[in-house]
Amino acid sequence: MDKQKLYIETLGIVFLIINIGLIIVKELKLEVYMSFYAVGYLFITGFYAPKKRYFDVVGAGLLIIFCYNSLMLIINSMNI
Amino acid sequence: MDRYTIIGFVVTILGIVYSFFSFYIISSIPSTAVGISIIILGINTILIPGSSISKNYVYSIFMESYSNIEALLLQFDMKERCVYLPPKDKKVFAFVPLNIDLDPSKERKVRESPIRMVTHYQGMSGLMVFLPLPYDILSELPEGMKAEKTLNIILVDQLTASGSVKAVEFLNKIIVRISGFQETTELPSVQSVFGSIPTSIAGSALSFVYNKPIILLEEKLEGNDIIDIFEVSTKHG
Repeated sequence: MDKQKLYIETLGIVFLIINIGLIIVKELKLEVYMSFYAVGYLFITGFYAPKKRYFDVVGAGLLIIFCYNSLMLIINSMNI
Repeated sequence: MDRYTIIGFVVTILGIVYSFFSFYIISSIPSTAVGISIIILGINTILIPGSSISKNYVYSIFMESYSNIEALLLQFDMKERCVYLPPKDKKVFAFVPLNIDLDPSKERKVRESPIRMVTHYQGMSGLMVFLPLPYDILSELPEGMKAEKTLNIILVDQLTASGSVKAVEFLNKIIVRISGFQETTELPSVQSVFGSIPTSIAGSALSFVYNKPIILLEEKLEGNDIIDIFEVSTKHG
């Protein structure tokens, strides 16, 4: 099968699993969803290493969101 | 704009509308998150590059390669239907009989005959014609794949030779309907020996996948559809 097609399909399945999992545990924080998406996205993209037309803005955006969420979590836990 | 880009734009817009609706109208975080995941998938699909070579161009190269075969068939004044042989070294050859008394009982001899342009083997004479096919794609297909799926991958997805393909397998016959096929150059000898170019590609792809000789029994034109009846040879005489 076409590698690019397989990459998109795998990413879709991973996001579906993340969504179902977090909805089942009744997660209501958007940052938790975004962090899971970031980890899933970066893992799948690293595994398939697909060709991209331009700079991977989605990956960069998700990485920044993930770093920001992690930083906020650390700051909050230190305050406690 | 290629197919990936169009799908990507549609998915992204759907994701934006869904997220907006979920966040501002129904105020649901899980639903908004689903929308965001759809946006990520959509943008990612836009970022995937399409093929650098147009598929129509690939198909035109295929058609041009049949012009050489036409010249060869004209040279030997070939008119008889060929047998698509199972692959040898992952290449499909067609045996075109020079003497017209080829019958199924001689099939084993045909299979064993050496691959030369003009071959004489145990009283039979014929041409061995190498047929162009996307061999790299065919090699990746899983064993035992259905005829319809195989032909859709080759004729529709890879070569864009037709809009859709339907195939029914019944006993040792395969009936194939090739819809919305692309007009091809008129090659009378190729037409009488192999059938039309989409039919020839279908026959050779089937012999590759089934690993058995395939014989074109009948080819009919119905509007913009081609209907082919192939026989999968199972004799070992």
